[in-house]
Amino acid sequence: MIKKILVALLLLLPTALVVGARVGLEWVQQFDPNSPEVTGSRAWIEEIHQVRDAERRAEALEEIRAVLRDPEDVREAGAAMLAIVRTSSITYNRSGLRDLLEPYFRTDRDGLGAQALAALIAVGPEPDDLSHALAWCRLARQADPSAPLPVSASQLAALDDGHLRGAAAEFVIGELRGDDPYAIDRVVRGLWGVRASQELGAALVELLARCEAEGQERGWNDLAYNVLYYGLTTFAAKPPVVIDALLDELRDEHGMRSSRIVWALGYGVPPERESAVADVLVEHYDAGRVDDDVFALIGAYGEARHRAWLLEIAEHPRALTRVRALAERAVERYDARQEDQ
Amino acid sequence: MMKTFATVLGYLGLSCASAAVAWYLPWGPSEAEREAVEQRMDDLDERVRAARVEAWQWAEDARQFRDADRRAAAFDAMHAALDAPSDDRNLTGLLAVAEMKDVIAEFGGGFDPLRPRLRELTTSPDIAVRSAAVAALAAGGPSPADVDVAVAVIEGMERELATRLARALVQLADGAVTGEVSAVLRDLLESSDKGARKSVYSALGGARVDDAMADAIVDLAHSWTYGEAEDVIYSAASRILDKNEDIVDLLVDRIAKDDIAIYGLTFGIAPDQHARVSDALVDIVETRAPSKRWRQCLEALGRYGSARHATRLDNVAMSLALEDDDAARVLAAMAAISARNP
Repeated sequence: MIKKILVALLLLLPTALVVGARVGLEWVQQFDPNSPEVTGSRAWIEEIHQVRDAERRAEALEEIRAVLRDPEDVREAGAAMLAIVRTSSITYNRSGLRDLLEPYFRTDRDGLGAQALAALIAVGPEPDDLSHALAWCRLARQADPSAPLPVSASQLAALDDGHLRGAAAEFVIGELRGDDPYAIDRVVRGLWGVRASQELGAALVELLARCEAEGQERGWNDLAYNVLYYGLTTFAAKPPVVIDALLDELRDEHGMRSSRIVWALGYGVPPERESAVADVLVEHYDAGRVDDDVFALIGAYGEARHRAWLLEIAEHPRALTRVRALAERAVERYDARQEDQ
Repeated sequence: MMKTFATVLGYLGLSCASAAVAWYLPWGPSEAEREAVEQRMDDLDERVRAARVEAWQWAEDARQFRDADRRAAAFDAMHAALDAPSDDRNLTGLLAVAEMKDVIAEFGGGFDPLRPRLRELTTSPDIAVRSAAVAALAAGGPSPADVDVAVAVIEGMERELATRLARALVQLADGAVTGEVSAVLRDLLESSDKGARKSVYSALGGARVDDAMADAIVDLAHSWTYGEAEDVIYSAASRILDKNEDIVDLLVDRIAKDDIAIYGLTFGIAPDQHARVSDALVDIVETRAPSKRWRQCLEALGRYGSARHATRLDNVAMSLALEDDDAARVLAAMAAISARNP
């Protein structure tokens, strides 16, 4: 009986397949790799990337300029902007592109303001772009307190040579003090690699404490992880407040999280905190935590007392052979530093 | 009239064919079965988390070197836990073994004396203990003699749980995914859970695989499941150490979509594929601007390329203006090719 019902149901399968395929296709098409902008920009990107024929590159750039000047449709202009973004690492003549992109950015022409901003960052931002981007963010926030912002924190930083400070930092701090962990998360994810101001660093440390206070509440637990993963650990320049927070976290950490913090302490540490970092790394290792990277950092940041600690390990018969070798190399690094000074 | 009749007949024919195919297709696990597996996985994770607290403390005691008594006490605690008549104690001991592997190898009498007890624990009725015992055996490094032990554990578990041991199995087999190991891993790849399949792909990174596994990798890379191809290329195809012709074909086809495919072509290429791969790599050097991948292509060309590739590199060196260090890299690749093909 069940078989008969199943066979009867399966007679409708072709129709279901057609409908399913249609729905599936629409679902797949929403993803970036197949969007018209991406497919439309691919040929331009290839032509700009190739290194053998300068004329082909020039022609592609001329086409991009023409499209931005007078696009046949919005997606074509979007594709041109994407091509500019995706070729940002290549050296070529970008003259005239700024003038063509600016109207899209300034007036959010055809809804392409965000893409135009990304392209402007690739072309080379000017000081006025930051104040315009901030004004745009404020307007968007006034219009809808819960909507995603048109400009990400990383774009605000890119408009100021990687710095997030002054009015831009103030705006981002306001966002970090919101009530919706998911909205805050979107902002935090844009903080990767920025040069943070002391105030922004303090706000993020405050947010981490808030996440921990909220405990297992929906959204806050993941946010605590992301504050560390996308924010505090990635700052290209870490203000002292961030270094202190990372050192506090390290004192209680094991495993992946502690490895991430040790990795983060490998760069962006202000000189006045280097010795404190070396102290905590020594403490961390002495507590029996496994992080081989600590040795190189202690060699790079340490003082004479840290050198003595490294030497003790390098010569200690109960230290692992691998660890003794690492300590020995760190002593060499310390000595080389002293010679350079 | 005839047209309508033909349409209805065609429709019915297609329906019957679809029904027949669907009739014989294996049914996936039901929602209830999936939830039961997820619940078991959650329970396992919870027990591991609880046991790890003590295991990590012992590991810290063992790793520190100043206090010999503290280290000795940690070893004693680990041994006592392994021998205790309690699944939870065994689990803690096994997690400590994996955490303390370096110290055990150098100061704890070595790993081999532990293996008999670890093997015994792979037959525990407790699935958490069996899994941790396989992972602990693998922590001691390659041990082909223990491959059968790991296979027996894996075959006694649901695929979704067993995929967590894929990496341990590959480690015990010293990276040789052939014969029985290959068969077991291919069976795990039949899992309906995408995340579980991804664990197997990750385990294949750095392994040497047989042709049957290479075929499975290629098939899965052409799967219709969204994101499956990316997982296969990123974690398995580009990272295995002996890429045969089919894997090379797959990676060459993916060059335009995934930079990671380029990375995959820069190492682990069988000698009979060197010419083919060099053709693909030199195409990239000619058609793309210098980047990290571009430089990796040059290094690989130095290892795989022949005289005709050197000629094409010479043209690149003389074409568009390259930065000095990139031009030097092109010349270095040409010199490496010349040195291998005097």
